[in-house]
Amino acid sequence: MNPSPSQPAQTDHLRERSGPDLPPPPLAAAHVIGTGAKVLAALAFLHLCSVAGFIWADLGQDSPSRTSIVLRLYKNLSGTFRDYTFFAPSVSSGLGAAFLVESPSDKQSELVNFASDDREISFRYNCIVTSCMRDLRSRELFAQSWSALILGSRPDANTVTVMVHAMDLPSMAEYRAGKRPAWKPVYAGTFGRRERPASR
Amino acid sequence: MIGTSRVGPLARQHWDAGARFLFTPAAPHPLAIFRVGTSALALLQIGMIWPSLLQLYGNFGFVQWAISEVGADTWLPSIGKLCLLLQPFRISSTACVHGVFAVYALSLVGLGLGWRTRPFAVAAWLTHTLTVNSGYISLYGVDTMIHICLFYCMWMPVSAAYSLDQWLRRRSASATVGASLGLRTLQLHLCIIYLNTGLAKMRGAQWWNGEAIWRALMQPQFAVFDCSFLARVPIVAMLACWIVMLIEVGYPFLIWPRRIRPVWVAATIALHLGIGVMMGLWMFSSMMILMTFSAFGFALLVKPHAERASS
Repeated sequence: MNPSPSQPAQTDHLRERSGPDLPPPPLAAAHVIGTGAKVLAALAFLHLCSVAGFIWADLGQDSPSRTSIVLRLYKNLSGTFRDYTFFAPSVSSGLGAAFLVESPSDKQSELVNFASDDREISFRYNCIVTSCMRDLRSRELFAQSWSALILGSRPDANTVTVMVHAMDLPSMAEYRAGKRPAWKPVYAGTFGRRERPASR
Repeated sequence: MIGTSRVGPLARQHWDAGARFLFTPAAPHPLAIFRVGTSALALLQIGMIWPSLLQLYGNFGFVQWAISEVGADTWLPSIGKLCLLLQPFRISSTACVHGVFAVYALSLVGLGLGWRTRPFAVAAWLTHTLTVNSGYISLYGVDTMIHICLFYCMWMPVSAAYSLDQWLRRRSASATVGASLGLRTLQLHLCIIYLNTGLAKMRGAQWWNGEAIWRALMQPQFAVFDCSFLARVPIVAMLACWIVMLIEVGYPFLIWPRRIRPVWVAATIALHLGIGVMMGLWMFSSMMILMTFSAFGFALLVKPHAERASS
């Protein structure tokens, strides 16, 4: 990995020679490129191939084989767990969620937005809402999980209604024609506290 | 040269060019900037999300572990599994979440300072892995990028410059083959990232007619300014989309030629500054700027290190 003791002198030589009008610096002498460097280069090459494979060839995708498990582990550990297709191929409609918290004691209800004043946290809340509402079958489960947190943080509340809306954003042409963005409901569910069993 | 005696002259020429590309020693300063920047941004991110840690990563957060642990591949390390391991020591799930993030933050401080860099890089990567697998439902682009950067910080010679390790050992920040390999890996990985995101955008009709920018800027979660005026001048949105695609798809090809490189680095940084200003995605934008700047931009600004990197 580290160059031989003669390395600094060689670097100076490279610096002297380099410049926009000079030919590219010569390759370091063969003896400088040790086996370690070659092994590292091979590993880096394999790593980049795996990154490309994970993205473009679905390498290790959803297969129970050992090779796939190892590949998925490497994918997770090396940070290639997303495919880098930010806002592509299209920008989907944003979702928003809110909770209607009802307390029997003071007969009041309060609307709590699933949002934060901090944008960084808000982005994460939005990711949660989007990911959880993607699959129709699991919506109920996630909404239950959210309401459990709200009920846990508000001992006086007895029911929480989870409401999720999708932004219906008109196209530019529709907007010119007078149509305006509007929220459309995509999910609503009410959850209450479960009766605790009497303590013995 | 390197074992090429049996190949033809053309192949030998390519082999030499490839070997020169990979093995000519490079200054370690860009990788040091990469290390310091990654640590600083990751620490900033922890500071931002700390008040909501339990909601995002806790056992009884918005997505309870009972649900999130089922969704992930069951053998992946996570805070939930660590908590199970620590249960005999009566460590609560809350303490476990805070403990993991505290260790993560301390590791990032060590990594940023470049003190015992390798162990702290491993600790930072490992703790980040735990958080990623516990809060994967709330993750977005910046977390992916931080994880990639921490993974590289473990392997690359990121402490050979601007670090306490270097200062304590009184070593000069000389050019090495290791730094060259690290830099090339980072550069090529960035090319894959930009090529993929650019190609994916090219597959969507919204990116050709300008609707993608319109939709992104009009979404309540991203809207910073009122951009409804774009509907009256759709050509602006369309041109913006085309420029984004050009920068991203052109990145792996036009970032390499020495004369165009400054233009492409500046265009890429401008693209991410635009995302930061117009959509408020500052953490993500900063990470992407850091990656392009350390991989390609730093050598353009700091001349003594520039010669090798631009060869």
